[in-house]
Amino acid sequence: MMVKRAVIDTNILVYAMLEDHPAYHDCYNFLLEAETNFTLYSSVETLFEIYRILRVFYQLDPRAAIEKVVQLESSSILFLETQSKSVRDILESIQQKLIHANDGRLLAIARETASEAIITDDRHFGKVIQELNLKWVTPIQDSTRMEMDAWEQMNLPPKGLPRILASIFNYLQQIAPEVARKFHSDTRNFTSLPEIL
Amino acid sequence: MSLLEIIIKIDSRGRLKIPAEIQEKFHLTPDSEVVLIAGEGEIRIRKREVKYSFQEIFGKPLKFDRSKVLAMDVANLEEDFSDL
Repeated sequence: MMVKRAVIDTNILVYAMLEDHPAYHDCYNFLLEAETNFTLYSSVETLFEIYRILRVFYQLDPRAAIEKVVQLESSSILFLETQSKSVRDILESIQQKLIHANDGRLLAIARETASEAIITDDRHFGKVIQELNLKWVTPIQDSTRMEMDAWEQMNLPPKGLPRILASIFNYLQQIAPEVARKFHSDTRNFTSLPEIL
Repeated sequence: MSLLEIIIKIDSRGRLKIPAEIQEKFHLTPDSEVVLIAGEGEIRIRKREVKYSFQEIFGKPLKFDRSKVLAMDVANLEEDFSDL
């Protein structure tokens, strides 16, 4: 029996694993339907990426994170290894399209499996998918996305420089609390690098 | 697990007979499902074994501690750089 084929990205799977995430219901409901309507593929690396995000971004207990990832590996999603013949294509797409390494692997898997769609909520990757004449699918509604932006601001450390500076501050707090306080002040609440005198 | 390479022929009706040794090794029984993945220059056969439904996996989501997330572990700083 021929069924529709699609490749699924890390972010959708992560959101569907997090109870309090605003995109949980959109992703969970989508996956329940996709399980019967699609053959889903992803890369083996996606499993490691999910683990890393659950641990690093959401600070989840390692045993709980491992358990979820292992369950996913034994689900109906087919996690494929990268074929050595695809390495050049993957590296070139990473370099030319400025996408993450795993996104390059997902594009290669889409080609290998003749999948018609890639399911992701990464907007930059979504545009690349469309440029390559594949279908970009995201289960996340516009109203949820607006909610996500506000939620991320409240629940996650800000991206980029503020996140790095906040992490350095946490480190300094452990070994030299006074220096940490000065660092906080000199970086203007983690918004700029401290000036070198 | 060591690699096993066996040459088999496709019969006149396009069927492949999986050798008994491999059937035994992978616990393939009548009605077991396998997936054929046709890549560039190769066809892979993988046993399809679904132990967990999406409802089992995603129906019991994980709960994270917001205060822990906001005080991100510095030990993970290096890993965090990869997402910038």
